[in-house]
Amino acid sequence: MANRTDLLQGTLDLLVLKTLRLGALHGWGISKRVRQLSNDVLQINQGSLYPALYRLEERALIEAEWGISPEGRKAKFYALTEKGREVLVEERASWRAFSTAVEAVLRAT
Amino acid sequence: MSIWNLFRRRAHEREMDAEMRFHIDMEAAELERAGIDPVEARRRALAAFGGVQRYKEEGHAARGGASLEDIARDVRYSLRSLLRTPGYAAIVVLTLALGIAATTSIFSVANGVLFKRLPYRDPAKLLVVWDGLDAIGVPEAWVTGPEVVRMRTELKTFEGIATIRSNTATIGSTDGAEPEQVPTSMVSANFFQLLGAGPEIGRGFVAGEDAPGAPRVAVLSHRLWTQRYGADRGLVGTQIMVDGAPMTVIGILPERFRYSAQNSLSSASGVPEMYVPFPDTLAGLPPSNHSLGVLARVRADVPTPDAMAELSALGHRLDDTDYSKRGFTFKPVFLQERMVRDVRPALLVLLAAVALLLLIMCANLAVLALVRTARREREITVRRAIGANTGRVARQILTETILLSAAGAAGGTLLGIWTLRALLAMAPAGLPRRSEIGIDVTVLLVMVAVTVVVGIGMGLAPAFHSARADIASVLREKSPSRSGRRVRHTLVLAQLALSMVLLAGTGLLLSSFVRLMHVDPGFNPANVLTIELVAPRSKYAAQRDVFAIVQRYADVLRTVPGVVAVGATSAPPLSANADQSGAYFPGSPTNTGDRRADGILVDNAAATPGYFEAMGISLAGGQGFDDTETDSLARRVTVIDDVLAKRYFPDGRAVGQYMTLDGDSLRIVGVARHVRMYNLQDPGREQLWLPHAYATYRFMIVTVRTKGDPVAIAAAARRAIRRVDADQPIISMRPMTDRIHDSLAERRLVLTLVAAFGGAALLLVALGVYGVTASTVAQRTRELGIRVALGANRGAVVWSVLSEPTRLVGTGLAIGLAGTFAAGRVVERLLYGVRPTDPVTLVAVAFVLLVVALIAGYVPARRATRVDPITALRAD
Repeated sequence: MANRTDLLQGTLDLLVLKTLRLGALHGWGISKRVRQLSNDVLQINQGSLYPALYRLEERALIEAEWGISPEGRKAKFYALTEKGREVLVEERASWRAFSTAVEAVLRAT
Repeated sequence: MSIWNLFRRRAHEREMDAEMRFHIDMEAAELERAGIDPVEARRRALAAFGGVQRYKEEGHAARGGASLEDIARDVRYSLRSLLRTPGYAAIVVLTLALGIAATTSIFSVANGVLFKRLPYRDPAKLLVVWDGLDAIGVPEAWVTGPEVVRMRTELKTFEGIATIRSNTATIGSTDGAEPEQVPTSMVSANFFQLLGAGPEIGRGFVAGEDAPGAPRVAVLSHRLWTQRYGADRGLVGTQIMVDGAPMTVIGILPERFRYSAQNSLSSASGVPEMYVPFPDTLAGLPPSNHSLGVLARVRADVPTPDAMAELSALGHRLDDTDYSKRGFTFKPVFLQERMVRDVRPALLVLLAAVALLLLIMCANLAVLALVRTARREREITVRRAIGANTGRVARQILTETILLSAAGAAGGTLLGIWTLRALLAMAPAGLPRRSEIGIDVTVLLVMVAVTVVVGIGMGLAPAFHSARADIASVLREKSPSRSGRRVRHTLVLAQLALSMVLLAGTGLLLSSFVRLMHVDPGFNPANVLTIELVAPRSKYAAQRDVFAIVQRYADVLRTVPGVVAVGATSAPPLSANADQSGAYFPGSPTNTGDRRADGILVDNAAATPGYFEAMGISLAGGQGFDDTETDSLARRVTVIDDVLAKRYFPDGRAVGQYMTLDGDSLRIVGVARHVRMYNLQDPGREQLWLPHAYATYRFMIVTVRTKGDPVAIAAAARRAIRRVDADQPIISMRPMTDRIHDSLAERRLVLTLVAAFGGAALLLVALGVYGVTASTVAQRTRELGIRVALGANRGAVVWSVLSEPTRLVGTGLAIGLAGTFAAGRVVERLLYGVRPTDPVTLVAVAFVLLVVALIAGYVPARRATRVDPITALRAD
C-alpha cells in the first residue's frame, strides 16, 4: 500500500509540475488540465492534489499567490519556481528512463 | 517551529477552506453547464471532492512539523477516554496526589535543611572549628581563648576568626513588662561581617565594639523585636535594660536570620534572641577553659583544603607546645555539614522511605494502566490494524498517563503545601534551618521531574506492551496476551520487594522505639515538675546569694500543698547540661599507677538536698546531700553514680572514700543510680553530683515531686516563687515526662511518617496481589467452573489459584530481603538496641507482608470456587 502511494505521489508531482510549466494555474485548473491533456485517462483525486500542492510549495518547487480567476473569483494560483523548473527537468528524465525500462521489459515478453 | 505552526494553522485553515470551496464551486459550475440540476451538481462536486476535513489534515501534515497538533489531539482524545472511566481517573489522580504530596513535603524539608545553600555570603568558605581532645574522650571540645588569639595572629589563609558563646540574659523590667529570660549569643565584633548576614534595620557590630569597657550594645532577633517591642522601628538607637544595666539596641535581625551550629531536632531551646559583643579578653582567658565556639572564614582566593592544612599545622604546633603531644588537633567542619549533622540521618531515612513509597505507587499505577490497556486491547489493536502506527498508539497511552500524573501532581502540590504545614507543626522546635523550609523553585522543579518520570514510568509498560502485541492473535483470542501478564507480574514482584524493604525499615525503627520506651532512664519521671530559673547577676552578685535564693525557693515550694519533695540541679537528666571534669580515685583498688590511665572524664552537676528524692534517683548506697553542706568543709562531698562505683570500687566500698575532681579532694557520701544525661539512647559518661554550695550555678532547674498531676500545682508553685521575688524570671515550667516525650520527638515523628508510608505500601501491595489473582480467576473461570462441576475439592481449587500469587509473594519477599540490607544501612544511625539485620524484625515483617498478600489473594480465589458451572460454560 505504501509503495503504491509513493509511486502515485511521484507521478502526481511530475504531472503538476509539467502542467504548471505553461503558466500559473489554480488547483481546479490543474486537475482539469491534466484530465484534458490525458484525454480523460488520468483523473486526479482532489484528496491527493491539494496535499501534493502544499508539499510542493513546502519544498519551494512551486509558489502560490492569491489572484482573480477568469470567472472573476478570488482563487489561489500556483506557479513554477526556478527550482521547480530544474526539478521538472530531472524528474522528466528519470520518468522517461523508468518508462523506457518498463516498456523494454514488457516488449521482451 | 511547532508552536509557530500552531499559530499559523488558523490562517492556513481559512486559506484551505477558501481554496477548496473554490474548487467545489468550479466543479459544480461545470456540471451545471453540462445541464445538470444545480443542487445535484453541487452534491456530485462535493462527493467527487471527498472528505474536506481529511484533506485539510493531510494538507497540514504536508506542511510539516505538526507534532504539537498531534499532542493536542492526543490530549483531547485522552481526556475524552478518561472522562468515560471517571473511577479509574479518580483513583489514579488521588493515589498520585497523595504520593506527590508526601514527596513534596518531605523533599521540601530535606531541601530546606540539607540541600539549600546557607543564607550567608559564600557559605562554602565558612568553617566551624573545634578542639579535638580525643585523648580524654572529647572529640569536639570548645576552643580556648589563647588558641583563638594564636589562630588570629598565625593563620594567613583565613579572612577572619569569630568567637561565639551562648549565654542567657534577663531583659529588665524597667519598661513595665514582665522580665524575660532570653537565650543570648555573645559574639566577637567581626561575627556578622564574617557571616555575611546581619541586621536588616540598623547595623551589626563594628571593630572595637568588643573591646573591654566599650559601650554596651545589642542586636535583637526579629521575634524579640516584634513580640516584646511591637516591631517599633524607633527601638534602634534607644536603650533597654539588660541584666540590670542599660544597653543600646543597634540593630534588628531579619526574620529569616538563624545561626545555630549545634542544634539537633529535639533541642527546643537555643535560638538566640539577642546578640551582644563578647568582650575581647581572649588572651587573658585560662588556657584550660574550653568555652568558645569558633567560626572561621577562609579567604576567598584560597582553596579551602589549603586553609584546613594550615589550621591543622597550627594544631600540631599547639599539640607540641601546650598539650604535651597528647594528640590534640583542630577539627574544622563545614558550617553547613555541622548545622544539619544531627538531623541528616533522619531526613535521609524519610527521603528514602518516601522514594520507596513513590516507586511502589508507580508500580501500582503501572499495573492499573496495564489493566486498563488490556481492557482496551481490542480497541487499540483495531486502531493499529486500520493503520495507526505503533508509535502513535504508544504516544497516546503515554499522553494519558502523563495527563493523569500532571493532574495528580497539581493536586499533590496543593495537598503538599498543607502536608508540609502539618509536618512543620509536628516537627521539633529545634529543627535547624526551619525558616528556610518551603516550597520553592527547586522543590517545584523536582516535582515536575518526578511527575514526568512517574507518568512515563506508569505508561511505559502498557505502551511497550501494546506496541508489541501481535494484532492477529489479539483479534482472534479474547484473553489478554501472555506478555501483558508477565509485565504485570514483574510489577507486582517489584512492589512486594520494595515494600519488604520499606516495611523492614519501619519494623527496625519501631523496634528501636519500643526498646527506647522501655529504657530505664535511671530516674522516675512520673509526677515531677521542673522549673527552670536563673538567679540574675544584677540581683544576686555573690555565689552565696545565688545558693541562698535557690534554697529559699526550695523551702517555699515545700510548703505548696501536694508537694512531696523538692530539690534543684544544674543539669537534670536528658538535658545535656552537665559539665565535664577530670576525676581520680586515689583509694581505688583497680588503679594501675599510671595516672593518665586511672583518671576519667566525668559529667558533673550540682544538686541540692532533696534532689535525688525529688527526681526519683535511687541511692545504691550512702546518702544524698543534706543542709549541713553549706558549711565550707562539709560541702566538699560528692555523690557518684553506680557505674563509677562499680569501676573503681568493685568491692562495694565506695562510700567514705575520697576522690579528686579538678584538683579538689571530695569525700564520697553516696552512690546513686546512673541517669541518662543526654538522651534515652545514649548511656552517656560516668557521672557525679556536687553540692550546690560547692558548685554554684545561676541557672538551676528546681525539681518538684508531687502527689498527683504535677501540672496541677504549677500555678501555686509560680505564686510561691513570685512571693519571694516578684521579678524572678521563670524560663519554663514543665513536667519531667514532657522532657522524655521531647527527647523522643524526632524519633516519634520519623517513625510515624515511615510507618504511614509503610502502611500505604502494604495497602498498595494488597491491591496489587488482589488484582493479579482476580484477573487469573477471571481468565480461568471456565476451567475452574468445570473442575468444580466435576466435583473437585474446593480447597484444591482455591490452592490452584493461590499457588501463583504465593510463588509471587515468596519471590518478592526473597528479593526484598536482599534489599533490606541496603535499607538497614540507611536506618542504621537511627537504630537502638537492634541490628539492621535483626532476624526477628525481618521475619516478623516478612510474615506480615505474607499474610496481607495471601488474604488479598484469597478473596478472589475463594470467589473462584463459587463459580456456577453453567455460567462458566456459557462465558464464551
